Amino acid sequence: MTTTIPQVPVNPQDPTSNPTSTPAEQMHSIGQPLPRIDGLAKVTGQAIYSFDHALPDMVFGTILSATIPHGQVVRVDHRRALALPGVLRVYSCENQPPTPPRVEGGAPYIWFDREIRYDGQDVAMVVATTQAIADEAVGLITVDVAPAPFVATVRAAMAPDAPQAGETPNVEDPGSPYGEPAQYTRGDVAAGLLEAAVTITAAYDLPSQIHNPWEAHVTLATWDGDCVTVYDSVQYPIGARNFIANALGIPSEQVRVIAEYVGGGFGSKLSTKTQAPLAALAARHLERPVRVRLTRAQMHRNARHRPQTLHHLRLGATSAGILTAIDHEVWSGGAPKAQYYESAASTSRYLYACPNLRSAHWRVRVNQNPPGSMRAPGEQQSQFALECALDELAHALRIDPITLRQRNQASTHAVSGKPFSRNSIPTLLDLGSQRIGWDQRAQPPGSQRDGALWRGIGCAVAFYPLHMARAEGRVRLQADGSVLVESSGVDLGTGTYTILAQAAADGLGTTPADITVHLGDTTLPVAPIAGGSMLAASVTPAVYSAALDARQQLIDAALDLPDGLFAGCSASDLVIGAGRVTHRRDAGRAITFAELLRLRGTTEIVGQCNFAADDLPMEYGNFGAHFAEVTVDVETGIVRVPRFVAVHDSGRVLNPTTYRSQIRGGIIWGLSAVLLEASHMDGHRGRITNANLVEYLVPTALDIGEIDVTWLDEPDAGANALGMKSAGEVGITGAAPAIANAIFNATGLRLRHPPFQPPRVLMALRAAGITA
Amino acid sequence: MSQVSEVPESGRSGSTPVPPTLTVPIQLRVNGQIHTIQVEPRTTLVDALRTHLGMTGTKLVCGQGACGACTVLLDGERVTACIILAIMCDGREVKTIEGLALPDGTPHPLQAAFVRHDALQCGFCTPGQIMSAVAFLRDHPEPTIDEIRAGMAGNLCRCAAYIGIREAVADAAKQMRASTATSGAATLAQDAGEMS
Ligand code: FES
Ligand code: FES
Repeated sequence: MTTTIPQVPVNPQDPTSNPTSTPAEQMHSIGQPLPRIDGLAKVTGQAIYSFDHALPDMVFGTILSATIPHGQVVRVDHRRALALPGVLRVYSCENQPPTPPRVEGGAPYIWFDREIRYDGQDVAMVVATTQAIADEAVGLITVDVAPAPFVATVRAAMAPDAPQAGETPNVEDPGSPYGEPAQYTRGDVAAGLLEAAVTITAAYDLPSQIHNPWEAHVTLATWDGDCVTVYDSVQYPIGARNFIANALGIPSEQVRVIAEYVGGGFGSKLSTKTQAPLAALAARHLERPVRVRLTRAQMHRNARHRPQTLHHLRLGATSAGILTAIDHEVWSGGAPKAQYYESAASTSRYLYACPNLRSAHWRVRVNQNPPGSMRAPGEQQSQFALECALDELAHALRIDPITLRQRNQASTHAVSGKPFSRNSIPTLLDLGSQRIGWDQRAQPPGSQRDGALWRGIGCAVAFYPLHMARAEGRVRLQADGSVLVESSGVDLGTGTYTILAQAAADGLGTTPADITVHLGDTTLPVAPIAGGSMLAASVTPAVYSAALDARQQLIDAALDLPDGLFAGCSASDLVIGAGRVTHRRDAGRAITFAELLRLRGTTEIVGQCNFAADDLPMEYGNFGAHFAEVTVDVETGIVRVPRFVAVHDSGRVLNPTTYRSQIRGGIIWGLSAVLLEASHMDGHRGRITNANLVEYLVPTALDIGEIDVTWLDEPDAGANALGMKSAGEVGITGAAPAIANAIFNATGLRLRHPPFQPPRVLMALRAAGITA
Repeated sequence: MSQVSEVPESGRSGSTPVPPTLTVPIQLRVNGQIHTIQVEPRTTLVDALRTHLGMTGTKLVCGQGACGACTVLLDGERVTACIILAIMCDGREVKTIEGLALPDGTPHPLQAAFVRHDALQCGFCTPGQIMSAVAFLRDHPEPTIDEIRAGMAGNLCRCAAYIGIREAVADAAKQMRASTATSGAATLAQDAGEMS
């Protein structure tokens, strides 16, 4: 599937001689399309997710959600719920435990706040002997409330006379809660626009969306003395452990979080949801295991979301298509008391070279549950707006959209000032345009018609920065011949289990079949979040280096054997595999790990690596060029994507099988974001109206056409010991704008307010006078 | 429904007194094995499988019959077990993901094909996809890709492994045809042997 690789433009300062980079000849498993090693457990139903764990004597919790968007809880009456047979306990603000001081400082944890700030906020929890009884009992709780004025949509909250959603004004400069300042300028945007031969102005309105991982947020907690074990469906077990410990006011060492299999996350499971500490609390009181899960409606109303973003863009360029100014301003939905804002004008700052630039973010607080990271948070919307606006600019300039992008290539990251290790965008665009047949697109737009089906092709650049964070690698060679790889990080379906086995096998000099991988347990070595596409790029190099360390120790021990089994040999004469060390050319000279360890007087050999994720001298990016072919049925407004082409650069690809699945998944998420998905807020009631999987649309098998994914399999040597980057999020960033641009090419119409579901498309077509 | 009685729910609770609940005895044949359980009339089939029988291979996602994650075969037909009451299945035959592999553990051709084609990521929709495909392939032994897309459209995959899924279903169909052909040929040969 990989394309033949034309030489990627490499920055002259690329440290290709980086001593930590690994020669390809040592890679036997890395780079191979190994089927995922957890596949069999998943296809046979044997994989036990947090939702599946059951313990003897287990009881069940259901959370009651607020049904007003703003106000005060005056009184909660538990009596009718408690009277229902099977109900064991009811919690609310009337009887919640006193909040302990936070062990690590910060604001104290509030179990049930009397102040309601959004529809869906926790009001109470019932614990009962069955889930059905708990579900029934929450409906028997009486809640008296004093409603307050509210505002639930971003546009309404921006109006001058809007009620205030929280304690501070609705529209605020979010400052720099994540390091990067929300407001950024360089050069002189006004002068850049004046100097331009052509300028365009465009506004895009992108909807709020819900992660909807298939496995709900669910927690099973069970105590043993002072310690609680928590089976939790999370993207960051260490974060969940600390969150639960803080809520309970106990040291984090007393909390163990386990997430062996996780049924998807997409960002929603980065933060710990309230069901986790509630399960632990109730399990302590009742002295029996408690499982609490969010309902699908609660997943929509109280488990974070991608906030709505309103974009305003102005671009200017010379007649030759050289950018003279970019002005990208964004208003994103926020929530009372929540810091989060969507950095949805972020990639505009550095993806293309442009001397005059402003990128500004405003947070607009509304009475909705707090927004949070959802697959490529910020980058996804930033790329949509920027890549659509560039297409509009190219059309205004009468320049090929590919040429426009290639003429403005950035070799330096304008914000950090560091050079990109390489910027493969121009190459990827060339490769992709050949694969899709770019010259076959409608010229002029709207000119390729087959009855009611109008056809078009569009392109966009996909981009996601490389993030890495501290990770420990641990590889343990056991006396029984087994090799254990351990990490507290999780596998969300991304392929972590598999690529770690591959990396450890190559580091040790053995095969993945010899390796057992243990993940998702806070008693295992430190790993970062499975988010920001950083887990693989942090843990895999750490495990690889730990395996090299283990191998070195093993070989030293073998060469040093008192009986002289390998006397006169060098390290390169020895092969490790199937639980033994063997002479490469003389199979008779062999020793099992057990024997070797016994002779050494130890029970295991442990290889370690502490991956520090140092500040690197360069910027590393995940690049992609995306091309969509669409048909727009001008009779019905239905948009289809029969063909999609993606060409990527993610550095070394560890496993083509799982990599391709990640990229395809991201592309389909992009398709879904632009054609289907939107969470609808009823501004009059302050409630989401489609909080279920019937009315919240996600793609089905029928929505998916051909998706052709290829990549440059070139290690990006300076990034880490493996020259790898990441795959989880870059795929979503280009697909949505490529499809929107293809709709323009098919119809000549700019649609700027996704999702482009048939009624919206049809109205735009009719407004433009287009009929079948 | 055979009888209704006031009986305590069976053995689910230790330290706390068990409340009396209206339950009904039903008999389910799951993967060939007969189970007699007491369920409330409101208990869904997916709940009976997961909670009463501890068979958690069948997943629960939307609870509204919208996603197909809970698909099992009821008397051979695919159903979404989240919107079927357990009492409606009294005396009927249920097939779940746990019963698909051969007794010696050899995976069903669809299970093997799902792994080979990486037709899953998180795996949470996967048991439902596979059970759905079992019934689909029985009715469409030689499906085109478009037939697979339509025939599997009731099983959503949030991770979006759709391309792997349709490739796996197509490949499994081929494998199953080949093995039917072989066993068919073997039966013919055997018959021929007996006749001669
Ligand atoms: S869980 Fe039954 S169809 Fe979705
Ligand atoms: S594999 Fe995750 S939902 Fe299908």
